[in-house]
Amino acid sequence: MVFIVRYVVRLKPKPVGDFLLCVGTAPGISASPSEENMRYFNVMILGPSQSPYEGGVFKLELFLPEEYPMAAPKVRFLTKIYHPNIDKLGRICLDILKDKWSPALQIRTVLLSIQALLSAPNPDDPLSENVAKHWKTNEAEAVETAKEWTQLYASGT
Amino acid sequence: MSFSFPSVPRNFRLLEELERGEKGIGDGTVSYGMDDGDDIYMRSWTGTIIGPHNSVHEGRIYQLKLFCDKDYPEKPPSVRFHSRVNMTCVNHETGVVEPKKFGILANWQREYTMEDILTQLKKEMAAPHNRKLVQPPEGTYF
Amino acid sequence: MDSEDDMHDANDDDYYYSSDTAVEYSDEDDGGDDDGDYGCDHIEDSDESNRQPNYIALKEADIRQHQENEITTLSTVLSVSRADASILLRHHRWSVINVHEVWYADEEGVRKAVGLLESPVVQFPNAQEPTCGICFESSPLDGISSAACGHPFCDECWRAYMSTSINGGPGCLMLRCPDPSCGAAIGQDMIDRLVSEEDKERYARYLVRSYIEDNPKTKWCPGPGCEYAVEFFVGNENCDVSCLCSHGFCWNCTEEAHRPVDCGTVAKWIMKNNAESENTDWLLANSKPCPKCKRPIEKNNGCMHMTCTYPCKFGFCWLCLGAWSDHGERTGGFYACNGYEAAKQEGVYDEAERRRERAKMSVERYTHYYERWATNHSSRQKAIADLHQMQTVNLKELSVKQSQPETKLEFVMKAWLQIVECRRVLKWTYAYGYYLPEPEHAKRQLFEYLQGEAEAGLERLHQCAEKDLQAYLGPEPPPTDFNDFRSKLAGLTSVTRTYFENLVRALENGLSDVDSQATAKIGQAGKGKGGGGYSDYHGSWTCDQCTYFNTISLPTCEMCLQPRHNA
Repeated sequence: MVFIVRYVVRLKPKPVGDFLLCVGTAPGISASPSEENMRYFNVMILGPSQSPYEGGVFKLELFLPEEYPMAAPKVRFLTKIYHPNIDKLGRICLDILKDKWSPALQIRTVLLSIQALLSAPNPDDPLSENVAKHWKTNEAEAVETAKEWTQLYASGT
Repeated sequence: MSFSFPSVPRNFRLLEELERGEKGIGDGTVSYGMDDGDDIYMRSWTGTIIGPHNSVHEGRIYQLKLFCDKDYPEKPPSVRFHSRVNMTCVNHETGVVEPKKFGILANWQREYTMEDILTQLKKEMAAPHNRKLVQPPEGTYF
Repeated sequence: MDSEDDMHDANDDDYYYSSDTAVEYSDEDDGGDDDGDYGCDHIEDSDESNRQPNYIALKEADIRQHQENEITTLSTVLSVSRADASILLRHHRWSVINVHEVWYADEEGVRKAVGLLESPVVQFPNAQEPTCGICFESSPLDGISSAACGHPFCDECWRAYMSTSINGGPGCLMLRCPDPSCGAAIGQDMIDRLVSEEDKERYARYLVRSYIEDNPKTKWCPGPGCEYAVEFFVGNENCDVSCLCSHGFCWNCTEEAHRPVDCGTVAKWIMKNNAESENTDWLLANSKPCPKCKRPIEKNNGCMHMTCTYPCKFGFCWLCLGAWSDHGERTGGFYACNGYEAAKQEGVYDEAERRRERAKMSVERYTHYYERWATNHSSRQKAIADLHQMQTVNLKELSVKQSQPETKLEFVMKAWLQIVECRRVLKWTYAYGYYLPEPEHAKRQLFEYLQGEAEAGLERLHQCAEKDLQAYLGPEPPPTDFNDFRSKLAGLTSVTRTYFENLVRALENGLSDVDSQATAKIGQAGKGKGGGGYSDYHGSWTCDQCTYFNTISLPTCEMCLQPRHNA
C-alpha cells in the first residue's frame, strides 16, 4: 500500500499550484482522488499493528473544502468502527480537524494522525460516549468488541 | 474537467445539513433530523413544520418523511407528509408531495436543501389556494 | 394607566413639605449624608458639586491614546518591541502591572506562554528559492517571511493565513506561526506588513476592541449607535454611569440605568418582556449562552464539543452546556448526552405548551405592569425629544423674549433633564412592583403610595416645564413675572429630584423600614393614586420562578414545583 499522488489543484490565492500529497511515505495509508471531483478522495487506512484494529482495512472519505488549506479537510470513516473518538456516522473528534488545524498540515499528516488515533484511543475526549465509557470501565472487553467489529466490518473485500 | 469549483460531495453535504438541523433553524417553525442514526449514508429524514399564522394550519404540527437517495443533491429528495394534510400539491392518498405541483422540486437545483423544501412547504400552506382548505383531524396519519 | 386628572388632583401643595410623608424615613437610615430637608434652599443645586463621577467616557481617539500609552510604557520598561509589548498586554487583560509581576517572576515562562521567542528555532533557509511550508512552492527569498521562529512561508500563503484568521474574529489577535509544532506569536508589525489595507484596519479595530473588552476597567457604552467607551473606577456603590452620548447605563450589567431595581430583577424583567416576542424564540433555538462567560454562542459547525471564542475559550457540550472536561462519566455522551435527552423526554412541545399556559395565567398581572413600564418608557423618549427641542429652538426664543442670557436659563434644561431621569426611575418602579412579593401587604401598600406620590410630583414638574413655560414664549403677556416662574420651576425640580432620590434609596433598601407604624401612617394611601398596584390577587401568591399564581394555601408552586418564597 504505497503510492504517490502528484496532483494539480487550483488553490485560491494561486492560479495554479503544484500540489504534492506525499502519501507515499506513509505505510498503510492510501488516498486516491475521485474521478468526478478532484477535491474528493477515497481513503484507505490499515489498522495499525498491536491495536484492536490490526488486520482491518478501513475506508474513509475526504473532501478539501474551498477554503483549503486555510480550513481543514473534512474526513469521515465509511467503515463501521468501535472507537471512543469516532461516532456512528464515522465522524472523527480530532483537534487538528477543528480548532488546531494549521495550513502547514497536509492530507498526509491528517491521515497519519487518524491512524495514530486508532493506535491510541482517547476515551477522555470522547465522541461516542457509550464506547468511551466501555473503554474506561472495562478496557479489555472494549478492545475485544473493537476486534470483533474489525473482523465483522473491516476484513476487506 | 470543469474549471469551476468542485461541489461538495453528497455525504459531506448531508453532514452539513445534519449539523445545521441539530443547531436549530430560523424561528423554529421548521426542523428536521435523521431517522436512523446508524445509517452511514444518511438517507431517511424526518421533517417537522409548524403551520403558519393566518391559515387553517396555524399551530398544527406536521410530520414529513424525506428520502435522500444516492443521487442527492443532484436530484431532489422524495418528500411525503406523514401527518394527514389537505394541500393542492400533496397526493390525497399517499401524502406524497408531487414534484410537478411543487416548484422547488420541479425546478430543483443542487444548492437547495431540505430546509428550503420545508420552508417552501410552510409558505405554500399560507398561499391563497391552501390557507382555507378544510383539514383532516389533527393527529391522523397517511 | 389612570387618567392624568387622577394624578393632578392629588393633594397639590402640601406633600413635598409635610414631615410625615413616608419618604422621609429613608433619609434617616442613610447616615445623614443629605440633610433630608425638602425646603427650597436646594434650588441652587449646591449638592451637585460634591458628586464626583466615578467614571470617565472615552472617545475613540482617547481609547487609542490610552492604549498607545500603555504599550509605550511597557515597551520601555521591559525593553521589548512595541509589537511584543502589545502581545504581552493582550494576554494580561491590558494591565501593565500584571505583566510586570509575571514577567519579573518568570520571564521564560511568560515568553513561552505568549509565544515571544528570543531566538529562531529553525535556521532561516539560505537556499536561493526556499519552499513554502504551506503551498510547497519555491519562492525567491524576498517573497518569503517568517515570524521570530524562522519557519518559512511565502507571502501569499501568509496573507491568506492572516486574512482567514482576521475574518474569523478577534481570535486573530492571538495568531501563531502556522507550523503546528510552533507557538511563535505573530505581532501587529508583521500583520501590517503583509495583509490588505482592509484586513489591516479590521485587525486594528479588534485590537482597540480588545483593549476595551478584555480590560476589567472599561466597557463599551451600549447606547444605540454609540462608539464611546466608559472607564469605571471602583469604590462607589452607584453603578449608573452616563456616557457622552447621554445614554445612561448600569456598569454592572450594561442594561440601561435601572436604579432602584437591582441587576438581577432587570435581567428577569427583560427576559420576561422578550419571552413575549418571537425574537427570543429565535435566539433560544439558535444560540446558547456560553455557560462560563454568558456570551451567546452560535453553533456553526463541527461536533457538540464547543469551544467558546477567545478570550473565554471554555470547552462545553452544546447539548447539555456542561463542561466538556467532566463530560465523560456523568453524561450520556456526544450525540446522546443524558442531560439533554432527559430534557428532551419531556418534549419540546411540552415545554412550549407549559410556557403558553403559564403566560396565560399571569398575563393579566404582567400586562398591568408592562403597560405602565412601557408607557413611562415612551414618555421618557418623548421627554428626551422635548429636551432636545428645548435646547435647540425654544431656549433661544425664550432668551430673546425675556431678554435673558442663555446661561441664566439653565434652570429650564435642568428641569427637563430631571423629567427624563424621573421617567426612567418611575419606569423601573413598575418592574420593581411586579417582583414585589404579593403577600407582603405592608410593603406593597407603602410602595404603591410612594409610587403614586412620585407620579403626581413628576406630573406637576412636567406640567410646569411644558405648559407654564409656553406662557413666556407666546404673544400674550405672561400671568406672572418671569422670576416667579424661575423660582417655581427650579423649586419643583429640586424638590422632585430629592423625592426621587429618596424613593430610589428606599426601594434599594427593599423598603426595609416598613413596619406597622409606617403602614398605619399611610393607611389612607390606597385610594386612587396614579401608582398602579395590582392587588386583585390577594388570595394567591406568585411564584418567583415561573410567575404562576398559586392558591394561598399551597406551599410549593403548582406549575414548576418551586417552594414558595420565604415571605
